[in-house]
Amino acid sequence: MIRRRSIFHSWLISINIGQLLAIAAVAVIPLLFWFSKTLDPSSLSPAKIQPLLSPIGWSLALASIVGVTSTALAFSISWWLWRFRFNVHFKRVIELCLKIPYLLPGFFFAMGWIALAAPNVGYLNQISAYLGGPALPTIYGFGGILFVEICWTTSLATIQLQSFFKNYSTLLEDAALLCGARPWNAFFKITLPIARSQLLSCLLLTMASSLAAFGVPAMLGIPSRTYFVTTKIYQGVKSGSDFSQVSFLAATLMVLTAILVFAHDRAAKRTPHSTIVGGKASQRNLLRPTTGSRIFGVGVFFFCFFGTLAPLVAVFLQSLLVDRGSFSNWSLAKYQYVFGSVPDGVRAAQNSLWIAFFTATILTGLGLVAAYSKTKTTGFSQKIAGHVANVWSFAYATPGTVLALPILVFFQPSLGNTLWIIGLAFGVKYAAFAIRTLEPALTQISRDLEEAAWISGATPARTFVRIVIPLCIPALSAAFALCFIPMLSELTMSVFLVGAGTETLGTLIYRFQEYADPGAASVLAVSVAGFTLLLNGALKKFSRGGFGI
Amino acid sequence: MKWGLEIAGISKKYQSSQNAAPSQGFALDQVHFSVNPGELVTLLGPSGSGKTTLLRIIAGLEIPTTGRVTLSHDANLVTFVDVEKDVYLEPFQRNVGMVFQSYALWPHRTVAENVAFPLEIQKIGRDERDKLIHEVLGRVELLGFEHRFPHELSGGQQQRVALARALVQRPRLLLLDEPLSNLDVALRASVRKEIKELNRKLGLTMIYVTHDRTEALELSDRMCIFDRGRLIQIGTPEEITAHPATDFVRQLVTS
Repeated sequence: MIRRRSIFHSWLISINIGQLLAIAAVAVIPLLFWFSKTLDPSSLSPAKIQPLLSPIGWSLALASIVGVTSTALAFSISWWLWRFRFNVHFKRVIELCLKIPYLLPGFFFAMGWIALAAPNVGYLNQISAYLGGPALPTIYGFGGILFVEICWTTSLATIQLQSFFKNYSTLLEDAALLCGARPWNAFFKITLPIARSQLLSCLLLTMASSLAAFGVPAMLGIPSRTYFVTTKIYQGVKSGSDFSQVSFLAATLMVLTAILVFAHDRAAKRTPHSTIVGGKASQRNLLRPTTGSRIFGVGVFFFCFFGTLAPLVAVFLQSLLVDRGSFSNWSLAKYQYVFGSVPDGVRAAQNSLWIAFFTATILTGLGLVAAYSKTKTTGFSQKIAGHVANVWSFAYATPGTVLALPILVFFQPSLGNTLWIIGLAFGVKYAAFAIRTLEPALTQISRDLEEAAWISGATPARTFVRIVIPLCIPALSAAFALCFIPMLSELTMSVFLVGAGTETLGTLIYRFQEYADPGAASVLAVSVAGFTLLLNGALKKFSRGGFGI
Repeated sequence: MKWGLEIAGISKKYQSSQNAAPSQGFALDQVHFSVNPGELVTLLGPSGSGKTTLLRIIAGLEIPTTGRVTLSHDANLVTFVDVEKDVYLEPFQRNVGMVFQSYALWPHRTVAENVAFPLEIQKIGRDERDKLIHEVLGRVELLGFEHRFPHELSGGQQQRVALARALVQRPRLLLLDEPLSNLDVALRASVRKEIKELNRKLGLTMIYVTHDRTEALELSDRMCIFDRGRLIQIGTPEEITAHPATDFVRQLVTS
């Protein structure tokens, strides 16, 4: 039996094995090392566990309520947008409002709501007091966290569920209407059962996301002493308290997330496919807008306004208003202060840009090798690449808090207080983004195109460079951007890993917001949001709508 | 230079039984035949009969389970693959031209850049390259289309670009995998004539895969009839039409 031996394929295999070794060295070994040092069941007496039950309970409550509410809201909004797509006014604005939170971290919206609804000084409270109305309920505490998390997570869930409706034909519901069903009957008896596994998958994903959330619970929970697992871990590390408790919380968070991710993978595999043979999917459907649908539309508009626009506008206003109590005094002084007077501002921006650029570049390269090996090779090479993709996916699903702590402890002696340690943690967390973006793009490149190059005399390596890479440039740009954007303002891991001189934008925003100057925090948040939205717009234009949000 | 081809005892067994011929689990089963220098031989058979697999084995895109493929010109002998002797030349070492059913034109390259690719790989200088591109595009009547991208061309034009790209490297052998299947009926007839003309003018040995008997009868110097991985009959169109070896061949060439 002849076996093809190609140096290029040996290189691919070596790089992929290198990726497996890297994740073992950067994440698995530190994690095992940390748990072995700190997780000692014998030292965990009931008295020590007792105070940890409250944050675990709050986290579970937050994850459950956010998961169920966001999934229900997202499904209703996605269905409404899909069913009445020809009759929805301001459809593009609504869709944009639903998509923007996907690009920005949740704590930007928490900042916005602090600006809007902080006791006494919040803009809405000021307006209410001016009009003689009552004060809004406090934004600090479980209720506020729940509200902001639901608004932010609903956007993520809507994007996921819209992809389901993109491939779902209105004809299926129309057929039920023609059989005499009322619209809600068609919805509950046809669409809902078909979307069941998609809904379950969305529910589990939003639960996992809320469980691992740090930014929103930190900004709105710590001031009111409402602790969740992630913020309790942070508080434990910062106060240097008993590490066995921190370790217990991290292990609990990891186990809970693993259960949710495992259940999600099983649900995703069961996704049914609805197939329509021929037909005209874009034809106007039988269902005409009713009063109910119009009322729902008004609700969606309010949701978009309060969920996305109001907090972002509040952050923007906060960055420009000199005095919180007066709407007449505008200035760019805070921008000059953050980027001119405070050395931390420029340094944090430089650090974040460097880490994000450097790590995203490496991840895009590694992702290309893994995705190419997985989609375009066979046998051992493909198998190894499959393992690489699975391992990176699992690393992404692992909460940032659980990843960052072992990395901090294990690499502190050698890389502590450097940008490298932050880059390593980001690399582990976001590698999955590159592979997930590149895999479908490479699948779309026909095998014939590579074979035609081989027949023309090009070696596999040359074919990869001259044919595959140029064809992948839009996908490579997207992979880079999708890694780069979240790293730019990452907070969950950086909050543990930064030291003096290695501040990042995320940690500086958090520091300004919590301890010193919410206006300065807003300046940074507005700058990051503006840059991110510009990058996304450029990506969308460059890929002709193929990539970007 | 005209090259002859010899296929000896070629079998191909896929690991997945889905791709295998139902009878023995072989996609190709002990195929022997030879092609004379400058001859145009068609491989005719229904879908799944193994003809494309054989073409891909000749190109080096598949490795046979048993057998040998050799190319000869006078005393020169080039072994493409010999399973017994563990000899295998990679596709990029064979200098074989191939026109794919999908044409496989690179969408990010213009017509001229598509055709130039084999010459770039051979590191031929720009002047010589431009001359060869001009010559081959003239031959397929595509002068003036050099700067267009594949998506700006019609199906027939794309097919001719694929042909030009295969011809420009002066291959030892030209392989065509159902190259007309994406064209309309009127265009097929004219392109068929062009291919036959090229074969005569250039004296290039060609292997042409098709499941269209009209195409096979009109184009072939000789035809190979395949069914479920086996070579059932080989001969000139006249011989096969007059003396079909089996009912299957009779039905295939007369229906």
